[in-house]
Amino acid sequence: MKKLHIINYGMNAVLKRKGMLVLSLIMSAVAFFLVNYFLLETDRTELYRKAFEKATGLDADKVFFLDVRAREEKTFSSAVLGKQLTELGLCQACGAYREYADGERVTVFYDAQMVEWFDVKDDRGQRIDLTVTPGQYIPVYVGEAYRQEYPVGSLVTIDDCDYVVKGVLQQSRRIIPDPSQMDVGSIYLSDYVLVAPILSEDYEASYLLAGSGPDHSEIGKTLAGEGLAGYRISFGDLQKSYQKSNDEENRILKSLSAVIICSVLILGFVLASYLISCNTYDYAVHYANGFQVSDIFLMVVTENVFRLFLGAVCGVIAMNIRIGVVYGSGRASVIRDVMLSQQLGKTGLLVLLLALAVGALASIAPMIRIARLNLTDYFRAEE
Amino acid sequence: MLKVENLTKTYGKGDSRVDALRGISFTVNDGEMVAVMGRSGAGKSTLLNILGCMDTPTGGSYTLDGIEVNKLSAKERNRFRRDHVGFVFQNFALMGQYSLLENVELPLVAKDVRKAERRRIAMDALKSVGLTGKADRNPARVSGGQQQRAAIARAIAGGNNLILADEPTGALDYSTGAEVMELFRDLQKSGKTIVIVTHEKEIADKCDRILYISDGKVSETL
Repeated sequence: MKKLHIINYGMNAVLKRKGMLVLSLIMSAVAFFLVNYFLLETDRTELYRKAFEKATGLDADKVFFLDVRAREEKTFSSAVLGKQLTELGLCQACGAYREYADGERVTVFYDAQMVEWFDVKDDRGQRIDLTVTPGQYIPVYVGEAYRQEYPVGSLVTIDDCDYVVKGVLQQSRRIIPDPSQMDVGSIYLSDYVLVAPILSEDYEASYLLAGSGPDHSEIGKTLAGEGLAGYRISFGDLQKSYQKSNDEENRILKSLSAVIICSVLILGFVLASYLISCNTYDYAVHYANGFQVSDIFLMVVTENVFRLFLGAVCGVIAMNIRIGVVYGSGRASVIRDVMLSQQLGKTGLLVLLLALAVGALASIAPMIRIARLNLTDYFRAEE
Repeated sequence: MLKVENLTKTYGKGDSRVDALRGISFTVNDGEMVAVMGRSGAGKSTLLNILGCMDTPTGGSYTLDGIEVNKLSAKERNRFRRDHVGFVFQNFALMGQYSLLENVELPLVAKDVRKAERRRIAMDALKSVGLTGKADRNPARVSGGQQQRAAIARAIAGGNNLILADEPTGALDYSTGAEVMELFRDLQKSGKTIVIVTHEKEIADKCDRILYISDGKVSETL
């Protein structure tokens, strides 16, 4: 019998057994989702790094955060410093922000470069415009949660200054509850913040985000030359400390993911074996009606791999729904692209190989059973 | 013609050795319908499995249509089975997710027959057992007698001359069983060779001959 014919027949057989198909799809999708989730989550620093590179076109190795926070007795403008660094050719891009909390309401002040960098959009899909025009109110964009409280065109008082609401921020942006947890490629936004432009007089407690300098030590020297020694300045140290704090978490997550992957594999094998044991009757019927052992083996493998493949497709869809929900559709599309490329890359390959291995391994069991089967007794016992 | 000479089958070794068949010999001519009877454990299933090329004898020879089956390799034997033998089982062995027509097509799928041709042959086979109008039905939605008819249609759809039936009426009531036997009789008239394993004397009496198997030997031939 032609092998392609058998493969086609095996796939049709999978689609015919609808109840079993639904069960196995759900199980496979969950398994694939879990494997993906833990593999990707353990590697999220790398993920954001790639997302950042794709979004900005900058080399992530040369991008760093300057965590410059003014101390009580001294002030300086991180925005001005960023501008200086850019003019000196030490940065290709920079941005500054500070935050101001008024009760539960938090306002984050970003400079125009920063929102442009991160492509922050309003609910109409337009990039937000933080341009300050002399003689007019300073613009502010409100999170979705404040849509009713601060309608477009209304005035908002922030830190004793009046702002006019220009729009509502696009929903479901990535939420970073604590700015110190910002990492490469992320921006502090949520449905509960107000976004306003940073002003040159906003000296204190502002952070500077700088990118793509040729050498961190040169920036350090420049900062020292500007009389900024004594400030807590970290070039990339933020990343390092972030990485360090994540190492332990990653180690735990990796152990956990190893356990989960093993569990998924075992569960997958058990499920596949169960499905096959349910199908042994059908395989025996095929055998009794002239199918060769090799035909049945190919059919079993085809069925298993096809079922797992369909499950993997469901898993990818589930994964993307999750990404959409968590990261939103704006800048997150970049993350999704990177995640997908990773899925299609190492994760996808790994999962595909696992699916093939589980499918092939699980296919051995029924073949041993069918080879030892006494068909006449078998079809009598089924009565 | 089916010819068995001094056929033996032994399972196990030493103390656990069981002689299922102890040198049985018989012949079934083309177009003949023969019943095989015997008590449970007498060796009927073993004989049927060997005749159906699903098991090999320990000794003796088995010749079907001039070919000594026990000298074939496992692969050749499987192909031989596909091309020469059709099975009918006690519980019908139909697949629930397929229609009767698709079940009947199964041996033709194994023979790599094209779909349109498959459909035509399977429909002809269903017609010959009186199930034309129920081709698209699921096996669960027809009666036991109709399921067995479909199983018989499947056994003949492949065009094989030897039909081996294992307790074909065992799951049916008397009148339905009688109808199925009529169907076998019709098949016999069309030239098929039929071997039926049964423990029902009334069924066996409808065959041309009865082979009694006892303790692994053919003790009586009527």
